[in-house]
Amino acid sequence: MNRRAPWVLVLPALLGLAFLVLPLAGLLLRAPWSTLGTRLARPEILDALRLSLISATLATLLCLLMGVPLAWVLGRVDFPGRRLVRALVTVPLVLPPVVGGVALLLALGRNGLAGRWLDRWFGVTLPFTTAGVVLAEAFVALPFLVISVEGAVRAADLRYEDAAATLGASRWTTFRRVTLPLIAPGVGAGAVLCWARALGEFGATITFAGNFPGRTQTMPLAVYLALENDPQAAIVLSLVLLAVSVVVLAGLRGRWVS
Amino acid sequence: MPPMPRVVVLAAVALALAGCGIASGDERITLKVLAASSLTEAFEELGTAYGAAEKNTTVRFEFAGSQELAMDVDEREPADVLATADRATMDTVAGKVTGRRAFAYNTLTIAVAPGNPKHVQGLASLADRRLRVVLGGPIVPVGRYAAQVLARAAVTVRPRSEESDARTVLTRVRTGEADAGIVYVTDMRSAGISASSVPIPAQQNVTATYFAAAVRSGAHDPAAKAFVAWLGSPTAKAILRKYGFPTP
Amino acid sequence: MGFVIDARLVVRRGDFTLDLALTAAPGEVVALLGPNGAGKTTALRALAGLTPLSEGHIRVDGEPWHDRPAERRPVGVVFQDYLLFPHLSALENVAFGPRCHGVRRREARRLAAEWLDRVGLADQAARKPRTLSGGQAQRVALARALAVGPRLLLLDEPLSALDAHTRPAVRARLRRHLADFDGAAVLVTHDPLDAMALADRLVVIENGGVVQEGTPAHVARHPRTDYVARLVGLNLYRGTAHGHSVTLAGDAVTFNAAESLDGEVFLAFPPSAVALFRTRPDGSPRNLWHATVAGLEPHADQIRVHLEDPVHAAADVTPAALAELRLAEGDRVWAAVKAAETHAYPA
Repeated sequence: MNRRAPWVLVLPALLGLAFLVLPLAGLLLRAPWSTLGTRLARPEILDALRLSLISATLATLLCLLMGVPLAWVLGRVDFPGRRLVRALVTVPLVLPPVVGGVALLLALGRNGLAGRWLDRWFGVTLPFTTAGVVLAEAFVALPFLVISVEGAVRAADLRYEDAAATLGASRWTTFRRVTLPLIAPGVGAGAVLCWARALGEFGATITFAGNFPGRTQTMPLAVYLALENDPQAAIVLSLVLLAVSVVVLAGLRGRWVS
Repeated sequence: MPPMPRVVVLAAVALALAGCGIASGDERITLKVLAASSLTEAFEELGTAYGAAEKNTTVRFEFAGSQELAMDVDEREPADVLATADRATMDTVAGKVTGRRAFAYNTLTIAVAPGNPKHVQGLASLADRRLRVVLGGPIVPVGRYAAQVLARAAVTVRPRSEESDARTVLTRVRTGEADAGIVYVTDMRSAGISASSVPIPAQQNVTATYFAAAVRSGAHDPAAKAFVAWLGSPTAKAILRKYGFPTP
Repeated sequence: MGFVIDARLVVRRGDFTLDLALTAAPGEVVALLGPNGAGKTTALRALAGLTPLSEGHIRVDGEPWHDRPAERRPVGVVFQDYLLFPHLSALENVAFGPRCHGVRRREARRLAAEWLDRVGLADQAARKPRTLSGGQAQRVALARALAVGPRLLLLDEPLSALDAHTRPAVRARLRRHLADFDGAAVLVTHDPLDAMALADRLVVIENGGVVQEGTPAHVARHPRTDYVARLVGLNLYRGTAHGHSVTLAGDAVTFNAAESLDGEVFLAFPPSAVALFRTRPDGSPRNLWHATVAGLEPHADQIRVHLEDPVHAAADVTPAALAELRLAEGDRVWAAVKAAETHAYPA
C-alpha cells in the first residue's frame, strides 16, 4: 500500500488497539513468572482447563446441531413473525448472562417449566452437572452461530440448489451436499465465535450449573473464585485461558474467518 | 430474582458510590460499609437507626461474601468500614484496617425445603449421596465453618456445588435446586416460609464471630471509627439480637 | 409420431404472462429465441420444474410431468453460468446426478469418468470448477446434465458466458453432442447465430408469446417482426401487394418484389442489397427513394448507413464507396434496391 492512511482513522485505530492490548499487558506483567511452572502443574488448573475445553466444544456441537437448521429456516423460509423470531434469537446477546442463568433455572431447573418433567420422568436434573455447563454455554453462544450462518445462508446462490434439484437431489440431499458446503465458511466462522464465547462464559454457568471443581468449575469460574483468594493464581489461570484461546483462534481464523 | 453472583450489581453500585463518597464538601457524610451477606437485613436496619442518631451521616451498604469484600478493600474500591463473618478473612486485610472488634456471633443450621420433604435428620443425613447438598466454597467463611462442623460430626459430604456466599447456598435450597445446604441460623429468617431448617446440635456446631473494622484508606476515618464503636452500643445490639445474632 | 415433449406452459407473474405451446420430436433441437424479458428462461424453468405452471400441461413420452417436483423429472439442465458445484471436482459434479438416482458411489464415478471422456475432459476430472476454462466448464455442465440419462435436455444460454474467441469451437462441439443425444433438446438463447447453428427449429418469443416458428433457414429469410428482422439482419416492412408491386404502409415507397402476390405482405431485403447515390440514378424508377442519412457505423468490413424519412432502412456500403459519396449525417441520398433481392411473403 502506497497511500498513507488518514490520521483521523489511524489515531482511533491505535487507541482501540491499545485499549485491547493494555489489559493483556497488565496480565502478562503481573504474572508470577517464577512460580508459573509449579502453579500450572496443579491438578485443579488442569481440571478446570479440561472441563472448559470439553464443555465449550460440546456446547459448540450443540449449537451447530440446533443453530444451523435455525439459521437456515430464518434465512430461507418466509413465515409470519420471522422478524420476531430473529429478534428472539439475539436476546442472549443483550441479556446479562446471569439473567440468562436464572432464566435457564426457571426453564430447566429442578422445579423449572421443563426441568420438573425431566426430573420426574427421566430422573434427569441439569443444574450442578457438566451437562448444565454445556447448556448454559450453548444458550449464551448460540446467537453468534445463528447470526453468522444466517448471513451465509442469505448470501448463498440459490441457483445451485436448483441445479441439484434438476439432478434428482431431494431437499435433504441438496441441503447436505450442496447448501452446507456452500455455507461452510459461515458455519466455520460462526462455530469459532461460538466456541470462543462458550470458553469465556461465566455468569450463566455459575448461576445455572453452580460451581464444583472438576464438574462445573470451568476456567472463568476458577479465575473468579481465585481472584478473591489468591489473585496470583487468578492471573495464572487467565494466562492459560488466554494462551489456549489465542492458539485455537489463530489456528482457525486463518482457515474460516474472512 | 435470586441474589446470585454479584459482579454486575457490584460494579454498578461501586460507580454510584464513587460519586457519593467524593461529595464531602458539605457537612453530610456517606459511609460506605462492606458487609458479609448474612448481615444484610440486620445491617439495613442498623443503617437506618444510625442515620437517625447521627443526622449528618448516611450509611450505604454493599453485601457480598466476606472474601469478596476483603478483595474489594484490597484492590478495587475505597470503603470506610468492613464487616466480615469470620476472623480469618479480616486477617487477610489486617494491615489495611484499624480498630477491629467482634460485634456479633452466629451459628450454623441445615437449610432444607419447606416441611423437610427429604427427612433430613441432622448432619449425618447429608452424607447420603442421593441428597443434593450445596455448601459454601472452601474460601468462603460459611464454607469454612461448614467444613469444621462436618469434621466435628465426622460426616463426609460431596456437595453438588460450592457457592460463593451463604445467601447463594440458601437460594439454591429455596429454589429447589438443592435439597439441603449449611447456612447461618440468621439466614433462615430471611427465607421465611420458603425454607425450613434442621438444627445442628451445639456440640457439633461452631460459633461464627463477626468482626468490623475501619478501613485505613477510607475518606471518613473518624466517622468510620465512630460507626464501628457504635456497633457495640445497646441500640445496635438490640437490633442485631432482633435478627438472631447473639452479641458480646 | 410421438413427441418427446408436448407442453403448454402458462406462467403468470404480476403483469407478465407466459403462454407458450411447445413440442419436440426425438433427436430434435428446438431453440427458444427472444429478447431479454421475453420469458425464455421462465419457460425453461417451468419445463425443469423450478417454476410452477399457472396453467397448462407438460407431457414427456406421454407421461404427465407438470405435477412432479424438479427432482423427479428425468431432465438435464445446462444452466447459464453452468452452476457447477464449486466445492466438488469435475468428476464429482458429473457423478452427483447418478448418485442422487441411487447409483453406487463407485459405479457413479465410473459413469462420470466415461462422460468426461466423451466430452474430451478425461484428464481434467480432478479439477475444481474455478480452475476450468469457460469452455471446459460448459462441457462439464453438459456431461453432468447428460449423465442422469435425461429424456429432455434444457440449455439456458449455453454459450453466453464464453468470450467471442472460444465461442465458435465450443459451439461446434456442442452441436456434435446435441446430434448424439436421442431425447429432445430445448435451447434458450438471444443469439441468432447460436440458434441457427444449433437448432433444427426456432421458436421466437416476444412478451411471453410465440411470434414466429420454423426452420432456421425459413425464419432467416422470412422475418415477421422487427425483432427477428434485426436478428437476421434484414430490412423488414409491411405493405400491400398487387402482383410484383408492393406499396409500403403510408404509400411512402413502392417496391418491385421478386414474388407475385396480392394483399397484405411482408417485404424484406438485406442491407447489402441497398445501393446509395448522391444524384438520382437513371433507369428503373421502382425500388428507388430519396432518404436522409440518420447515422453511420462500422459493420464488419463495411460501413452501415442508417436511413430515415420516409422509411427506416439500413444500407451496407464499402468504405471506398462511402469516401466517394462523402456522406455525413443529415445528407440527402438516393437509395435503390435490386428487385431480385427484394422478397415479399404473405403477412
